[in-house]
Amino acid sequence: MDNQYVIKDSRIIVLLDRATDSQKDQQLRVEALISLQQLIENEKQLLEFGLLEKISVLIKDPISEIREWTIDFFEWVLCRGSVYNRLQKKECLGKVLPIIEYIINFEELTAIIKKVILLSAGIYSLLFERICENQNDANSLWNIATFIKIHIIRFFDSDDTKQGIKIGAIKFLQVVSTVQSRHVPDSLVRPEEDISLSLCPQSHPILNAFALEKEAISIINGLYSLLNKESSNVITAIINALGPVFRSRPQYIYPLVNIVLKWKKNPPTHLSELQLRSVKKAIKIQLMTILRIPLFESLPFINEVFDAVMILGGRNDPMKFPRQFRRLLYQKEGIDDGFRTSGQRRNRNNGSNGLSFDPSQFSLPFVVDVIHYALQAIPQERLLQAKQALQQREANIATRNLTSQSNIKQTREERKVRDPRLEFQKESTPKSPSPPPVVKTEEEEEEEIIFMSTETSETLETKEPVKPEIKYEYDDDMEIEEFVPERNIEPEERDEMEITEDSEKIELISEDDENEQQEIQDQLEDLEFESEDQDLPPATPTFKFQPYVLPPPETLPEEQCQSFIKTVLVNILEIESKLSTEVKGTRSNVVLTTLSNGKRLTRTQLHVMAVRLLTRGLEFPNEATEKTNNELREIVVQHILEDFKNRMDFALTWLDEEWYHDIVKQRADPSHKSNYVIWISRLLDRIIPALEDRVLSQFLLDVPELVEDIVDRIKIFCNDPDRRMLGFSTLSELIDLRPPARSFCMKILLAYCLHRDESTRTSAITVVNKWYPDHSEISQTIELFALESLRQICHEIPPTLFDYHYHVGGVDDTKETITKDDELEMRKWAQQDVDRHIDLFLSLCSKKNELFHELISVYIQTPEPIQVMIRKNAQKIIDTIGLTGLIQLFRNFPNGAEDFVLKMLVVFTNKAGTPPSQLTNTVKSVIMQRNLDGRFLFPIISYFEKDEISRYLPKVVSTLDATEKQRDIVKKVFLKIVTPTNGVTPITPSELLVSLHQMDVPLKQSVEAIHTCFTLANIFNQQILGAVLQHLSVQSELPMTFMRTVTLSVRAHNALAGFVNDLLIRKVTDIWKNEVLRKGFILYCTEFCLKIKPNNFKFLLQLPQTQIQDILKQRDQTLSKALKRYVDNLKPEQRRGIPQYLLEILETVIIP
Amino acid sequence: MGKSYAIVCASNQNRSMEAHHVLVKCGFQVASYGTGSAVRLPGPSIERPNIYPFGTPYDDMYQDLLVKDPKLYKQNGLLDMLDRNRKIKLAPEQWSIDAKDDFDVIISCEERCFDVICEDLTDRGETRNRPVHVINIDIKDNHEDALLGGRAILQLVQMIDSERINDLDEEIQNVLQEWQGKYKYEILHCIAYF
Repeated sequence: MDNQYVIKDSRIIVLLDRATDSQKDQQLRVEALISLQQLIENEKQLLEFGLLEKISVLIKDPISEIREWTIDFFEWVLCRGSVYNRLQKKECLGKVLPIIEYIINFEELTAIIKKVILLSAGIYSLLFERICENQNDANSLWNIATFIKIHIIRFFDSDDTKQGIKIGAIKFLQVVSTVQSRHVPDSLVRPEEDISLSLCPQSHPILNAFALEKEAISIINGLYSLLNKESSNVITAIINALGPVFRSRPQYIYPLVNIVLKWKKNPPTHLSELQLRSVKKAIKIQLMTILRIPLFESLPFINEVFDAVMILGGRNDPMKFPRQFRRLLYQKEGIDDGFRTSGQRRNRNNGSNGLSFDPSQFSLPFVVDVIHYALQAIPQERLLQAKQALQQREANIATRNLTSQSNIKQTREERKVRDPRLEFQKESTPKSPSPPPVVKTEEEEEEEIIFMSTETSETLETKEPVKPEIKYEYDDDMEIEEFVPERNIEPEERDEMEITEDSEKIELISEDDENEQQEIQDQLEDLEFESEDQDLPPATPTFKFQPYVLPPPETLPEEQCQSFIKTVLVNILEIESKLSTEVKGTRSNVVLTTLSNGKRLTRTQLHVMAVRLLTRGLEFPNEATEKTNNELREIVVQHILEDFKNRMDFALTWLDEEWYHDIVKQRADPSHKSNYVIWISRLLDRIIPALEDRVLSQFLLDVPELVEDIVDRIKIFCNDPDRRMLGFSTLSELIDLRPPARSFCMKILLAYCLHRDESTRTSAITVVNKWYPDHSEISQTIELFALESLRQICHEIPPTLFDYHYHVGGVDDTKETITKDDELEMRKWAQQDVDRHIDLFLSLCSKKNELFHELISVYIQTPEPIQVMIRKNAQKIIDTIGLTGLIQLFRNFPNGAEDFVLKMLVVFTNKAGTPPSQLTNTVKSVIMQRNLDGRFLFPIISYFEKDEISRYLPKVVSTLDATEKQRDIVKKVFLKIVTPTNGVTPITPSELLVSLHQMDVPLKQSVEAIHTCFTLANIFNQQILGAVLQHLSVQSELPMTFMRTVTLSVRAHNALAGFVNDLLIRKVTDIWKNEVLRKGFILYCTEFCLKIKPNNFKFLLQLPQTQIQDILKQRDQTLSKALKRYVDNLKPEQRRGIPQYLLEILETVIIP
Repeated sequence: MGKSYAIVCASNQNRSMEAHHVLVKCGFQVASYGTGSAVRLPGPSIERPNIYPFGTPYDDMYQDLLVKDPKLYKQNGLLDMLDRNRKIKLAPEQWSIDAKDDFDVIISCEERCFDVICEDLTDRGETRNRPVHVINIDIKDNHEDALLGGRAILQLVQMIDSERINDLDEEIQNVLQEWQGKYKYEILHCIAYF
């Protein structure tokens, strides 16, 4: 002890002196203490452990206020205030526990005891934590704590303990029972916040976890037992104190529910009306809260909680229930069918079974009478039937061999061990001392009248005669796990059912072993549905009312065994199929029946039972068994197929189990063949042809494992136009949600992105696109695949087509024929092949433009025919890359891609109307930089300014190569240039024609260009031509092509002749200076005089002498001859106007 | 030290404030709360109530209603009620958010509020280890009943606080029985913990 501690702070010394001075006035002392607390509150460092020691002396003070203050002070230090941190608090426990111990021992005032108990509640978890850490003084601390605990528990033993103390003690025990039990995973408290038994190391030197846990359970039991005797104060205190316990330790809810269920018949009588109402209300509030906690929905006894709430008056306010329970409420109120919840049933049974009375008190004649009356209610024929069956069974049993006895015992044990439910049973009801008694049907009662428990069945096995007395094993201390027998003793109802079942079964089994089968079946059924702990029915004695002898155990022939098993399975499935229709739409864990030990059998459990029987239940390694196993599985498949949608749950449970079982088997024997894959494949093969909705996706998402072969079946969907989207979305979901299956699902989906059918391909691409580019991992796969497919275009022959068909068992007829037929075709690239290899890539490109250069680089590597095919995708490409992409392309395209780029430009401008200036400018500059030919101008030149058009025109003209095709293109360009766009003509036709004359290009092309103009007769009309000629003639120098244009103009429009001829006569001297023009003129002259205006030589004669002489000296004398003939025919007076030199020349012309 | 009381109704306007009013006048240590999600006052018609969040000062509500329809709200007594309330405390308080202190006795005016209080105390985890008496008295939500209810609550509190009660835990059932002999209210009582 630290009595030598010296207080350093003078204020504390003064206050403490004043407070401890018993001579002083009580009021003054209390005030001093209050000031002291305030001082510490403000200056926390003042509260040293030594000071705590000094203050603790005050609990022995004669003045109760001061003692009370002391407790309050410690409560403040340890539970509320922030003076100490958790570590310091733990350290000062050594000072506090003795105080608590002292007060509990010696204090008389209720208020102070209550306070100290509540203080204990506040520090118990702290203390437990400290003991777990096991410091040096842990042992002594734990001893004090145990003393305190025992003392507090004892408060309940005395009838005159004050209510206040009990209320405090309840709180303390609440804390103890929480701390001394283990953390439950399905609770609302996070493990790190939960101070529980889980903190205690296994081999703790002081703490015995097992004993502590047991103590906690007995505390809870004890508290619940108070519900039947204490006042409403204490009861509501217990209920409200347990509220938080329920959330962290849901296992403690059930006993309360059980008590409430019993109250329906026997409400507590010791409470007044007000008290009872308050108690019920408090319980209802707590239970209702449990119903509303989503985490607790799956509690195995949640329906009992609901029933309890109903008993407590929940019916009155349905709106307070969560939705699913509201539905249950309405359902209960409306229908009263066979699926009544177990709670109600149990209660009814409770009453009729007479748990409240001791059946052994009835005299035997009375019991016989009751049975007699009951049997009378059964129709005669059924009774006879049952009797016959019974007699036969007896006869068979009597003849059985005693040696097989040990076998059956062994089998039974095996079965017990293997049955997983029994394990569950062990876990969940560790302290159930004896299994529930089982009430037999009166049929059996007649002979046996025995209520069996495990002990009694053990005695049976040891061949001890069973006492033929009615024995009910019921332990009052078992409240927490109390068992309520399930089966109804009421003869009518029970009997009806039993006999009907029997007669049905009789039909099912073969004639030979009818009775044996009947019995085994009964046994099995009992095992499955009735009781987990119930053993095989005891042997039927050969004589009535004789001591029983154990039945001679027997071994069934294997064949028979198999057939029984088969029947059992069929029966289970029958029940399941009945349920499928009857309980559709209700919750999947709907309770089918309540087993005799209080556990419920839900539909899910039924499934589990069936599939475990199938997988693990029958492990005999021989071929016959395997054959049976397969038959059984086939039955299950058939069952599932009958109504796949509603039995999918069942299918999944089965497959899960197969899968798990395979793993277990393979671990032991690596050569084990996986049943899972075989059977899921068989199941799928049969459901897929008919499925049309998303059930398949759901199913595949839920099965335990996917292998490539399973997923391959989705191709069937993808190939069917009606179910294609379903196929793709299934793949997509699998890729998203099942990463292990991703690679092969992706393989299929991507293959469909190359599918020959365009719409299939597009759908697949759309699906694939959703991951691109956000999903980094999948994106990468997609991108690699797209690039790979694109690059394949460079290969000489297209790659082999993906096998889009699903082939059962790998047999592949179709592929063979397809390959042969298309072999030749496949050797070269067709347009559609190129298209399908580009599509996916383009769709990615639209999201990631950087990829586009890949296409160009592929393009320049491919031969010309393929390039053409690629170019045919121009529209798609433009749609993908857009204007920006196009501009980018123009700036960067490599050599060899010119045609490609040009095609893009043409397609873009054809569609878009006036191209944006950004594009035209880029194109212009690129044409300049790279000296591209005139073809690049075609799409855009019409959008240029007048000057630019003139500047770029030579490039256009120079593309003319004397081919009709090129001429046609140029013609279109001209037409576009001179056609007004948006009301503005960039250049007029006459300007165009004039420019064509003046540009610096080879004569030949210039002429071709001019010719092209003349083919546009509508535009280059007489008027325009006249203007052009006029314009050209006034130029300082006549263009070389001038005479050509003149000739063409006059040839096209004779009416121009007069104007043209005048013009020519004026210009004739200039023309003669240029050889080309001179020749042109002579040709024109000849044509004019001979063809255009035959025999009109007026124009010729107007020419000066030199020119006439020149013309007539041509080697071709046609014109001269014509002129001579003309002159010869002239009348003499007319001839006089002809100059002499001309006549002389003509003299030399000889006309044949 | 005297006991501390909390009076709880739905909106912390009428019933709880009436009781708050009379208890404060008699010198008790009292707080009042509402358990609703918001403060609801009658409006011009049944489907158009005036809704305010908890924490809105009574005075603001008073001014608001005064602007909206002074005649109506004077006639139905709302303005008088708000006027009384604003003299007692600033604004209505919500049980689950504003009730931070430990009380010795909590009195609710409606079963629904009783449920909320018990549930809420459980939700809080009961870590403070302080027992509390929770009493429900069913009072109709109108001015007349609130007035009568307020008096009845005062009577109960006076009985609980009287000199002759040494140990309330021990005596509470008798007190309630005695009180119920005088007033015919439906009541509930339980012990819960902070």
